[in-house]
Amino acid sequence: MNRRYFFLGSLAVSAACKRTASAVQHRVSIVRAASYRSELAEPIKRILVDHNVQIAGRRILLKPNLVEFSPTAPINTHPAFIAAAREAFLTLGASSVRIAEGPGHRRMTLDMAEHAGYFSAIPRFETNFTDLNLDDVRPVALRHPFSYLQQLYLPQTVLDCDLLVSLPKMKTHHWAGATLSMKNLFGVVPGAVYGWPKNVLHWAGIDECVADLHFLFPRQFNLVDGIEGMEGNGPILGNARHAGIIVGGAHSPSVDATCCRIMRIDPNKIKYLRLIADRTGWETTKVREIAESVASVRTEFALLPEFAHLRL
Amino acid sequence: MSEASVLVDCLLRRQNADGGWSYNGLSSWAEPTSLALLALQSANATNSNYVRGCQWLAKRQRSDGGWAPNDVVRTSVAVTSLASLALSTHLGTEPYNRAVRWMLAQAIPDLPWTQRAAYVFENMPAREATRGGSPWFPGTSAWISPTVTATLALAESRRHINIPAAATQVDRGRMYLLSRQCNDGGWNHGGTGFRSAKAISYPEMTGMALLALDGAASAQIETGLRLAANMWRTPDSAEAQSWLRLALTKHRQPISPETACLPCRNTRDLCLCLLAATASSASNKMQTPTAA
Repeated sequence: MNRRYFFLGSLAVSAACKRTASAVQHRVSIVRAASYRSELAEPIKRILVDHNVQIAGRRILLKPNLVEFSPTAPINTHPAFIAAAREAFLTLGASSVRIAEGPGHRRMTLDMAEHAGYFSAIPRFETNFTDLNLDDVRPVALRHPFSYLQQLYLPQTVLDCDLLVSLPKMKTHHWAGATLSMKNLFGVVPGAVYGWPKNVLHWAGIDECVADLHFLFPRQFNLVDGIEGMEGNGPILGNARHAGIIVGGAHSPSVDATCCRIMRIDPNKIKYLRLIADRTGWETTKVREIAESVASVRTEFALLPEFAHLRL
Repeated sequence: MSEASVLVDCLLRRQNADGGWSYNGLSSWAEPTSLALLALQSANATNSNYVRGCQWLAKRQRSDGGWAPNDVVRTSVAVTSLASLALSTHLGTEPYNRAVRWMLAQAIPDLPWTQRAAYVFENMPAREATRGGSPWFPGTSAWISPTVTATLALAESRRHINIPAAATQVDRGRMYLLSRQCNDGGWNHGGTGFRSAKAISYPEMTGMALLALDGAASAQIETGLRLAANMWRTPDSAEAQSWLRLALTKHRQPISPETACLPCRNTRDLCLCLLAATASSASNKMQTPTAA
């Protein structure tokens, strides 16, 4: 084989891979959940079973979105949602379920967790919780990054789990447009190394780093708390928006794209999703909706004027 | 036993075998070690444990003069300020010089006039053009917390070495802090007003910022102190309580009796608690004057 044929062959294989990626339909569950007082563990368990998630004997790490002291504003993943997810995983045979988060603005993680109701809603919360901002770390190389970062120091608790479960709140975001499963992983980047906020990620490009973090964690599942989300000037200063749903799936970009469509945001205009699509050939529309359809649960989330162009 | 003695005992029991301190019972990190040393100094508890801690920290100064967060990370970061503050009387002249020069090199330079003009043209508030703070991580933006620790560390350096740029940077740091005051009179992490004009302040950041704004009475500072006194009455964390107490003490403000005894969640909280309990100590380097 000479160099010319090797080069042409590589192009052909790469094109075939992209075509394969674009042909794949990723399954995303959309399940109605009227309120946080509803039974939530059963629908979450059904989602996990529907997606054939391997749980028995595995170490599960739940990563909610905990941002501010606010028991009432829809900023943080709701404690009932986290408790239900924990219960679902334990019922399905997980060997352990830890909860972990590394908030990006304020350092008093446990105080915020207590204020958010996590201590009272989740049995033995403090024993089963890791502050990812203060965990011991290991360097992890970024292969083919979207950003200029070459490596990240990441918490050992995250690197050592068998399945990382992103539990974001469904919110708009005043820089990225929306903050969902993938942006939620900013919380695994430790503040003790990178500071509060984790400004290294902003400098390297928020969207690029969202995409980079996605590829660092191949063993992942996502359960989006869309029962009550945030619209407008998210992720902190916006208003409550009731969507009444849980969205779940293993393919994070597909989960986020589905959430965007539900919120009436065009996923093709969300930069971090476009980065993934351009590189892998994935298409935002190639989603197989399970249970409910996007059309049946669509809930328009208000956008800041400067994000009007994202409207679907 | 006094409050301080009890806290000293707790802190010493948490010291790792290698002489450093961890955040949460794991390996030793520069920040909790630096804070532990500052707290023990403040409590006049400088025994052999303290000396081992100083040795742990001093040995980890990197060739560029700064400190990394721990033994795994290969980059000097903002923790350099706390380390140099803690070791100000323990480092030799040359290593201390290098630490000060590292901190000075991190300070964000002023915007060129062309960019300042662009800000005016775009109707951006003047505060957005103010630079002079210090970043968490090299090559990134300035934020309140690393600017406060750098300002305190550089102010302390004036007692030991003569680097004129240190005094200039202390002033720049203070100007940056004033430029980032929130509308409610306090401080948060230091985010710009862009899309966050109504952002509320945080009690712990308000306490921290005021700690580096001593010595200059102004309407801005008075507003901040009034808010701090209010926040002190209903703190949301032990950390917030500690920073507020340190700041109110430094500004010679009356401090109402504590209304809540909030739990220390980790070693850092414990160190801050001890620093706050000994806020009036002559050995408390958080009380280092920053005003010229």
